[in-house]
Amino acid sequence: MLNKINNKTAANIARQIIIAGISICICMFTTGCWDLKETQDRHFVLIAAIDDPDTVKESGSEKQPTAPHNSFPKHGTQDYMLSVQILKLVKPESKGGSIQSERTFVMSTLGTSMFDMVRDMLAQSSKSLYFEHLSAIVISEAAVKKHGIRTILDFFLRDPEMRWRTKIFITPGDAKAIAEFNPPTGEPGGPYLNGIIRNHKKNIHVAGSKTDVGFITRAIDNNLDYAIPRLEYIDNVPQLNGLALFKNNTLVSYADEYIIQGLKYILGTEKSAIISTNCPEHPNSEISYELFKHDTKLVPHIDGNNIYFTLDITMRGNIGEVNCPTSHNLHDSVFLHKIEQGIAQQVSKNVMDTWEFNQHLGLDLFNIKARLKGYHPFEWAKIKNRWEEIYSTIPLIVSVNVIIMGTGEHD
Amino acid sequence: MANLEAKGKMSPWQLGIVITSALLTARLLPATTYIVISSEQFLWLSSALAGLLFYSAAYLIILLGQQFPNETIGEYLPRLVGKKFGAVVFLIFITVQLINIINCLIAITTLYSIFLFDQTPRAVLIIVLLLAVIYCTMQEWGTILRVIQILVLALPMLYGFYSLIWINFETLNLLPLWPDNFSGILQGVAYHTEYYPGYESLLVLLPLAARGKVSFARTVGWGFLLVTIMYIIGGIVLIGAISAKTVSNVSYPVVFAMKSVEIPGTFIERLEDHMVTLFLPVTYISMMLSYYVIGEGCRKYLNYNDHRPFIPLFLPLIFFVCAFTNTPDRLEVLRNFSMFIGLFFSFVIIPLLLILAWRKKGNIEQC
Amino acid sequence: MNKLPRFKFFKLSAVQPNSSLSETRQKLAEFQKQVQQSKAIESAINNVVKDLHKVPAQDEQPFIFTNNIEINEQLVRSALSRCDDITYRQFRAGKAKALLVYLSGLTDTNKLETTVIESLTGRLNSNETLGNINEITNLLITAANVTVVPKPKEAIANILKGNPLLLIDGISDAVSIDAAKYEKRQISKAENEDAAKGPHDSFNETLSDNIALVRRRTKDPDLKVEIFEIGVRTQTSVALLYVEDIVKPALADKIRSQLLSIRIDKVILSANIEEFLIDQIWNPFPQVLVTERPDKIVAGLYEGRVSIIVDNSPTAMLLPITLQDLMQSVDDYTGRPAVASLIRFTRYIAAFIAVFLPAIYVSIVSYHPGILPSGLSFYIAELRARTPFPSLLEAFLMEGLLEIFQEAIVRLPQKLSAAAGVVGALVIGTTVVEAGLANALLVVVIALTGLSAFSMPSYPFGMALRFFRIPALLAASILGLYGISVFFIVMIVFLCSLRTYDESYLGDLFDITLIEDWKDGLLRFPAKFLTLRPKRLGAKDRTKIGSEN
Repeated sequence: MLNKINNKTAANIARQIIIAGISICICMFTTGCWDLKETQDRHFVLIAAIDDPDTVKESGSEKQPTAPHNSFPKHGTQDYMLSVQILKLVKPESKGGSIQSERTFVMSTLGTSMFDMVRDMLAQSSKSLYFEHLSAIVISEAAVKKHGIRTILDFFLRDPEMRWRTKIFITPGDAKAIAEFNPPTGEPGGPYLNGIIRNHKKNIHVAGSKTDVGFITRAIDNNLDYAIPRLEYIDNVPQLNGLALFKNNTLVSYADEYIIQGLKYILGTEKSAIISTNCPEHPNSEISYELFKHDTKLVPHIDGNNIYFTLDITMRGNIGEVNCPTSHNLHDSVFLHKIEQGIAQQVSKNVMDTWEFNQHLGLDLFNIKARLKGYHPFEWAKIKNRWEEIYSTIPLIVSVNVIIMGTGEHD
Repeated sequence: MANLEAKGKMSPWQLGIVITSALLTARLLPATTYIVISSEQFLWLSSALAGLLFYSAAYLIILLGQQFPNETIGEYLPRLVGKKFGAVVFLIFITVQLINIINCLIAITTLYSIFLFDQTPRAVLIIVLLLAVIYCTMQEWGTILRVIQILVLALPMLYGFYSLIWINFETLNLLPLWPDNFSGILQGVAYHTEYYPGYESLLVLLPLAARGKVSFARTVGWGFLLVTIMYIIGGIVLIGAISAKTVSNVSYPVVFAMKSVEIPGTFIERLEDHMVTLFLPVTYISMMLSYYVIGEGCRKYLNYNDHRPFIPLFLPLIFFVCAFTNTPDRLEVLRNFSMFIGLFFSFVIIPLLLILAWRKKGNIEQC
Repeated sequence: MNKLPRFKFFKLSAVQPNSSLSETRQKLAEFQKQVQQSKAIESAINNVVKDLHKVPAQDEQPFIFTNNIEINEQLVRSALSRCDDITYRQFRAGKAKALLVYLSGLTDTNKLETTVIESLTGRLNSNETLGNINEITNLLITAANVTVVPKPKEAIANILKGNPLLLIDGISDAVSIDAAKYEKRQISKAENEDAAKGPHDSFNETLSDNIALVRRRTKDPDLKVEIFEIGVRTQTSVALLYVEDIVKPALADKIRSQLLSIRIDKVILSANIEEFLIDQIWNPFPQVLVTERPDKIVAGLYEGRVSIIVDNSPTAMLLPITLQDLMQSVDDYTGRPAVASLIRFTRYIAAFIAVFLPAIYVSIVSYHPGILPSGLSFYIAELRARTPFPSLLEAFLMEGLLEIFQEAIVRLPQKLSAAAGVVGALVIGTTVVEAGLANALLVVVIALTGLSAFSMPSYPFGMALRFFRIPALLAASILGLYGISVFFIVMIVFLCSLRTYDESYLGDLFDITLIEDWKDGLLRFPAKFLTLRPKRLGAKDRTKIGSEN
């Protein structure tokens, strides 16, 4: 009978439910939810700024805490000063548009190991630090020069909590000052810095492609040379200015705007750029060319014993601005062609200068080595040992093809 | 038939799906690192070779199954090699399956504890997942089959997700195309036991499949082909995105490569966390299938009515081995052992059994 | 011995310790004895009376009808003693005495007057005698449906159904006239499952009307209707409907035997029957499709299902069902197929949201804030900073509020529920947030979850989803996203393990051997393409007549 069956199974089921309930309760009480940490109980680190304590001390902006009387001397030397910018959990703006308060604050400590310093910082912090939303790492030039960049970045590579798209900057001044910066937009400083570098695609004077933690890691792993944007803090405004060039983990030199421009012409990382050239007819006036499509091809060639590279650049764009005192007939193809020629010459000169600059420093920012190895593995095996001396002699043959697609809305 | 589920039976295509879904697990994540250490940028080549190799092993198993239709390994072993040897071989078979579960569990829980957790003990993650696996294994085959067919959908999702790595692809990382390190590539092939686990389940699953118009070799072959192509393309993208050197420096390269993907302007960030979530169902299938195969194999071997009594027996063993294997050297030992026993079973024992079976059959025919 | 003082007052019991209590006790005992004896005598008399009745009666019949109408009346009266709503109407049919016994509320007295009393008294002369029973039923009574009931038990059951019983002196058979009429609800618009397009009529509480609603939609002689009486006391009519040449073999037989084996004293709701039909009673998912729409029943019958309609219930049951049947609504078939497919797909997503969204919220807020884009994560952190509770507690609080409001609004009369809705919206929407009890995002999350559960075409299915929200929340609070993933898998295994009549509860979802059914599963193809009945229900005859044939 159905009824009878039900009595029995009901008892079974009741027992099962009780067992399940007890086990869930036990789980609840024994687990203790190890990793449970509410969002508001976390201190999100937005910027990690690394300074050399000695240089900071000289500038006098840092006050050392006085040691308690009986304290033990701190282990090791104090190689770095780590400052972290932390998000303040303030009330979202009320409707009236009240005065914007600062959204972040900065804590610093001294030490040798990054991790140790991070934990040490808990002495000044009400909540523990989380790096899940770390947006930027700013390293002062002095700190980099001290021990190289690999040791500084190690903590940020090892911890799986970090993001790979965290941007890295080198600053000639104090990194802490940049961490203390409050953007006028009201957003926190970290995402603001992160945003600055995203504009590299539209600004030919600034480089930022493949300069985040992930790509730097890859470059370090593959023993490649790499560049990190240089961030200057002028008049309380952080500003990208130049590139710090690294070879074998050490800062070799800086690249200025001109070299950056050359780098970008060769690698084609920008989406859009403005190139100004002198007008063929008015040498004192400038014509701006708005580049919007840029293809480059850097290919190694081996011809007998000669190794050389060819670079084909194709640029497509419009005329963006003409500053000439008299107007030109921009429908005249001969005139346009002259402009194209002018730009091409300018670009190829810039490229050649950059190429030589690289060779001069022994820097391989274009992966010349990998290209040669990839395309000509057997020849590479032969010259592998003499690479350093060969590199500085490799010529580059540039051909630039500039095409003007449009001349603008109104002449 | 009227019934929704031909209970305990599946079609050849379903068998193909089951085997395919068992192949791809989280085991491949740590394995990639040491395959790349030996094969460098030719990860794709060694995956392709390994696909061929392991399919040939699966093919041998199918051939063996044809000699004994409607019988599992547990039933014909004693007849084929005698009672004592039969028991040893059967034990090796069970060990291979157990190793698969253990490796999967270790891989997936380590993955989770690295990427999503900080302090949660791995043992808790292990026991939770193990209980979930057991819950499914305690069901009848029709249910398990259905579960597999649903969870297998995570596979294309995972792969689609993974394809986002193409954004960071750079051809230069794959060059040169000329392999100069053949022994390394071959060594990488051996490490691929982690890429192609679980096809040994065929030894028990074959009698559960109904022989139809399509041969098992074909459906399983399609599964292997699919997975191998996935591995080849996946290997190419992986190396192209984060370079062989970086792969050999990180412990979970596939997830790490995902970390490097950023699609600005979308809601989704930290893609690796999403990917980790998708790895769970994919790995779950393989674990659950191996566990069921253990239960079903023991049932046939010991002539029981039900596979359920065998399931809880192995729980403490699996749990303790998983919880114990928590340092790099123990992991290394386990990895080498599982590779050795996997290759030994597939490429020594199975061919031997097949030859024996052919000889026995020949004798009978001569008589 | 102490010398007692001369003047002293004692208690009576102290002086005579045994007298009063023992006497009263004795008397009480005697009295009780007498009462018991009288009871025994009464029961003995009753037994004798019963025996007297029993002796000639057949098995299980309380008595037997005799030729004498007075004895018969007495017997009926004793069987229906203390039932004051029974009316006894005596009249003369010719020479013989006749008696009509009926339930005053359930019988159509007008009909009775015209078809029985008038024809028996009017047509016969006062000295005419009646022949046999057939003459009366065939010639004299003009009622549409008349049955001769020789068995008293049946006769009494008929009276209680509202069919008057006619007894005539000299005839030992009783006649039951079909003249039951009772107050019933008119067939009205479907209240809970109204569809935008499509028919609006719905079942009412009367079995015959409900069966008629189904019959009216099909002129198929293969549609079988079997009626059983279930409930030892209530004797409720339960109809079993199926299409003989389509239904899966043995399915109807199985359900019939299940129905017949139900031993229960009362059937008041159709759910009483439902709970005897399903195997996994603790499973929160509905395993029977309960609908008030006759068109749904007809569609289901022609897919090879079986329907059960219980008297006094305004709903009919359809079984076996699969998950996707619960996800379909009539509007899917009245709307354009492309739109309907999209809507169906949305429903599956809504079902996922209904179970997992609060859990995902808790896991992200408490465990993995890093998974969100930085801006959003900061925003949530700032919101959360103002609420004192941990996210799990907060979620439970809001969840509880939601459930309370749902219950309140469902239980209240319609006019009040609108008011309650306004109060609820105000309290949840603004006050809770302003009081800092919960953050605005959580309110959105919970509201979305609630709405998703409501968007399920089947209300019980939405309830089941609500049920699973709690374990999902707990899993998320213990192990974050990992907990949710494991719970998701366990839930899939659970769904896969469910069976209704040996059919998988998931139907053809994700089963490649049933891939032919996909045209009307996750998607909805135009009717032109649906030439086959769904394989998942095991219909005998799978071809529908499509235009392609």
